[in-house]
Amino acid sequence: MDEKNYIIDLKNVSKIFDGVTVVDNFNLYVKKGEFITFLGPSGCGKSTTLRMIAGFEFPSKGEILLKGKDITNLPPNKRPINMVFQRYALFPHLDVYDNVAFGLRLKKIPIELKDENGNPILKINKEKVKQVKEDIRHTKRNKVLTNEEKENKLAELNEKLQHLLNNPEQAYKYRKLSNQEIDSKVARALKIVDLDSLEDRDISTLSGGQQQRVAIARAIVNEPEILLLDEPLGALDLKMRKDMQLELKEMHEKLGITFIYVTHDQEEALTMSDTIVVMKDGEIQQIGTPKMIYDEPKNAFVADFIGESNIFNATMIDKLKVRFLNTNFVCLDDYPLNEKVDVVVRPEDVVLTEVNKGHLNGIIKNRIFKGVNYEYTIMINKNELLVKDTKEYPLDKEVGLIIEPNSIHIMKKDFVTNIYTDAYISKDNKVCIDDAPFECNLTQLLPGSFIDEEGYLVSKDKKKKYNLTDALVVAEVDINDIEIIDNIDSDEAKVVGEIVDLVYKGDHYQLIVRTDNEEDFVCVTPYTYNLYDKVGININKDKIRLRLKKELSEYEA
Amino acid sequence: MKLRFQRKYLCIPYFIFLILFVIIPILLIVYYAFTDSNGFFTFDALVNFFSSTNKLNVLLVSLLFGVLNTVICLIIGYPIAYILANKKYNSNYVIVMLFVMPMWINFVLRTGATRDVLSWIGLSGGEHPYLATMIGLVYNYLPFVILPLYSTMLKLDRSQIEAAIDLGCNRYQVFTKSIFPQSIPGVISAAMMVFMPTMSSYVIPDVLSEGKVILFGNSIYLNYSNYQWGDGSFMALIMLLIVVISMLVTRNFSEKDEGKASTW
Repeated sequence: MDEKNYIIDLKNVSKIFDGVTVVDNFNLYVKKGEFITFLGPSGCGKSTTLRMIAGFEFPSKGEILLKGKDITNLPPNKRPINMVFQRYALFPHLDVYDNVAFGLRLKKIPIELKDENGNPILKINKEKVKQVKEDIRHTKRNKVLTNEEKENKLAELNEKLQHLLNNPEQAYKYRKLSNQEIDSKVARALKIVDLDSLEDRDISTLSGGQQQRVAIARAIVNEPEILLLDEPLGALDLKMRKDMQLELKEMHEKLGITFIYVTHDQEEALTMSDTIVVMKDGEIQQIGTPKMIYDEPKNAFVADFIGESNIFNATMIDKLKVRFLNTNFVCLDDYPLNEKVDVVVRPEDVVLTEVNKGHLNGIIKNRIFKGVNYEYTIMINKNELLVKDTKEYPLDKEVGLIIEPNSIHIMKKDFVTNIYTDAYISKDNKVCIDDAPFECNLTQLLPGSFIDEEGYLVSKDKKKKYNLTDALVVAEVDINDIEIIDNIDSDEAKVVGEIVDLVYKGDHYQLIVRTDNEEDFVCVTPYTYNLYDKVGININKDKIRLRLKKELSEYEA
Repeated sequence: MKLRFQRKYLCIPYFIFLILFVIIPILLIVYYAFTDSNGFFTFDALVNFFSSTNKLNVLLVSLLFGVLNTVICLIIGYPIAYILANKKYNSNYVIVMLFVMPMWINFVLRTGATRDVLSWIGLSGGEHPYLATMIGLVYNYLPFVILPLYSTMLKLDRSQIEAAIDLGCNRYQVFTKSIFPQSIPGVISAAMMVFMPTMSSYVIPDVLSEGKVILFGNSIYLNYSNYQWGDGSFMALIMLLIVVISMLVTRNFSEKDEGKASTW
């Protein structure tokens, strides 16, 4: 492996805040000149990762290498990395020119020191010694590492320190940039962002888009190795955002430096990036080009997060044959026989046709005009299928559906968690999975919040209230957390289903309980059941993990 | 014609007060400053003021006290305001209260108490008039410095500090290049709140120095109580002039910041 090509390399990086793992064992390398995007829902650790690259947070574990050099504990002002902040963070007391020149005025250019004979003057590098001492301090205070890991690391650092103290290096003196140099650099940066005429303007007189450009100019003028962008377009309106996306992409090509971009907007990520890193709960779900991630999502989460998709439980019934929606389909992905899989069908890949002329039939239940096409919700028995089509069909009409083999993408089922993408919150703050209400803990959606007597979710500082009734959520339950209730008439059995699949795995059974609505609950049990037994399902309220489909702020009461 | 109620009529009570207690007194001061006891026009008060080393001395001492008090209050108040504006602490209402609460108690009463405390710790006004006055002034005007600074610093954006570090500032430069320049409007209004009232303060030096420190306010009062209406009024005019000058100076500053200086 040739590590020289990597501009930045994150090795087993974890970040733990007060016992909560925010970033978990993150491994990523970025090639020079790449446009890479961290994509994920809020709270997935993408911003924390970016802040660790910038130096505002230090990893609890792991290393960050910049061009092969360890920068894990280097403060932000010593890294050749600059950041564009979410709300720009421009200095209101300075005008456009001074904002952009801010970094340049602080910059020091090293000049090699030589004696009269032209030989380099050697001195102990005090900067590096200071940094190693800082590293030692960081390691000593680290609460996450085990004692052994700590000792090894300390020994390594002490050795490095001795080496530095014994080997003098080339000494430098420093000079500041001259005014002319600053002038020309600022002018060039402002030209790149198309603001060359606004040098003297006050920050407060600029529009949001112009402030955004100043923020970018302020960062790129320092000629960083890497430009970090933390949801920089979030505050702009839609039209402006689209324009800026294209301009950022253009800028990236012009400058040739590495861009690391953070966003929760999947469309933005698809438009701009060379590589997308999809994250969830501090873990990388998938790394790939936009096309790869859209066409070949690795799991249901990625498929659901990137673009609109229909995800179904399916079973491999034959070689290159898969069954879902009570229909057999030919597919291109080869999976073992009888394997339970997830199937993704993109709405634009389903073709509507006349009844009985397609692979299966369905009834149009909803139609929304989206400009370019119509978005139909089609009921197939009790399953919904989202379809995009340019032709207009009447409501309640029965239509045929064609799903070609190449539009069926099969993913290995992630049997660790049951994910219910069409759950919602009922009036009494229960989560409805498969139309059955389960007790759940809504306060997990906002750290430190609580539910008041009227059933509102109230934020920690009591300033904000949220009404979550009818909020669409994705509910997740570990397979170990689903309880099987033998007596299907008891109150504890929230839903009743039939055991449709049963696999013996050495010391336990993994079984799938399918309800009348064809919703599957995957669970494990040490007890023996028979296929087609009817059982009830219950879930402990603290074990249901919820994620809102929209931003929490949309539910503010 | 029917008299229709208009919203601007609500200002009438204020205007009555304004005329009675601001406009007319100013006119009276101007009148007394330039007339003698018989009501004839005269420059006596002006000549008296500028020829009396005693009075010029009082002016100088007052200016010095004003500047010194402003500087000390800013030095003490700035870090406190900065810490209070930090989210970590400002949710702690008790701390904020502790700094603001003294303002709710009449300052004459407080000054009496200050005198007793000071003499109890051995800093009685009789022996250390200047020090005791200074301590009293700083104590009284500190909340007036903290509040405007606090409200300016609340507006400081944490990410601006990060941006400054990101662009190459070390910890010291973050303060000099980002935090302090942004808090200047607060510093100016804080200075205004302290400087002028200190110069004209009367009770604090009178009580705490046991009459040994005479500031401009005391001097004006003395003149009036000795029935030297002309001299007292002229000194009051000088006071007004200084107010106007310092307002003009600070307005230049705040214009730059486009009204961002808080009205505090």
